[in-house]
Amino acid sequence: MQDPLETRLSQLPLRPAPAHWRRAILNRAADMPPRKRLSANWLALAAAWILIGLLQWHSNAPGAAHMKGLTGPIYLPVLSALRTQEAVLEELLAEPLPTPPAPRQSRTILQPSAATV
Amino acid sequence: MHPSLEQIYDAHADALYAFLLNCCRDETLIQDALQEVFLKLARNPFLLETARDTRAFLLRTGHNALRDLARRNSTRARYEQRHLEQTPTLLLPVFPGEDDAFRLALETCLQDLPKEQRAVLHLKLWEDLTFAQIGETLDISPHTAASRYRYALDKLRNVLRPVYEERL
Repeated sequence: MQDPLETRLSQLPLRPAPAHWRRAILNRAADMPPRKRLSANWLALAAAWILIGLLQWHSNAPGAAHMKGLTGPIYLPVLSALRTQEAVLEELLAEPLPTPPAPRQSRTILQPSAATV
Repeated sequence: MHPSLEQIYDAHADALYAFLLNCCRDETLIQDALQEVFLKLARNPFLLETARDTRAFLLRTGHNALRDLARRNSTRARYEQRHLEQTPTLLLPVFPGEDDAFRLALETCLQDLPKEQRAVLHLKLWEDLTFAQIGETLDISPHTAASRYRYALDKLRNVLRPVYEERL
């Protein structure tokens, strides 16, 4: 700082915090339990996702058709992308072919209107 | 190894107190804000790990806590009343018992400054922060911090000139 006013101001002593605050503030802070970085809830959630991922992976392995029911409704795009082309083809071939819908039959016999006669 | 709360208090509490006192002359509110800062540190001991500058981080946290507490006050009238009742001076006499005209004039002038300018002035003069650090602490741009500082210093210079020039 070149300005003499700034120098003078910065040298002025400031009032310190009241001495009796220290004990009060630190005692209250010491009573506060520290927050854990990884709570039990987060760990349980992570474990559940890992389990789901493993089941999905295993059910996509060849010869594990009996496992498909376990994770059928859960879609994990990452794991789907890792499947081999043979596995995808096998799945497609295993699905029953859709049957075409039967022609609709009208139950009422339309009477020719007077205008068309 | 993290510094203990006691170590942090001893190193920074006086500076925090002086800054908050310059922002608001209500000691009850300042004590609550200081308490908030240390409760936050106790809840999350890793909080200071993310801070580049511990002092600047604590000043920012204290400033935010003070602002939130002032907002939470039930009635502004009550706050203003308490504000008037308790007005501790920011500056200490250089020599005990000294009647320092400069110090008293500065004290009055500081209170007349807008609080935004006062906060910037304090961080620059007594904390020696850069304008970038002040901007980060107060959520303003470094340019705004610099212009507020210049305005505040000009006002101080005008008011203090008679007292100041006598002493040069």
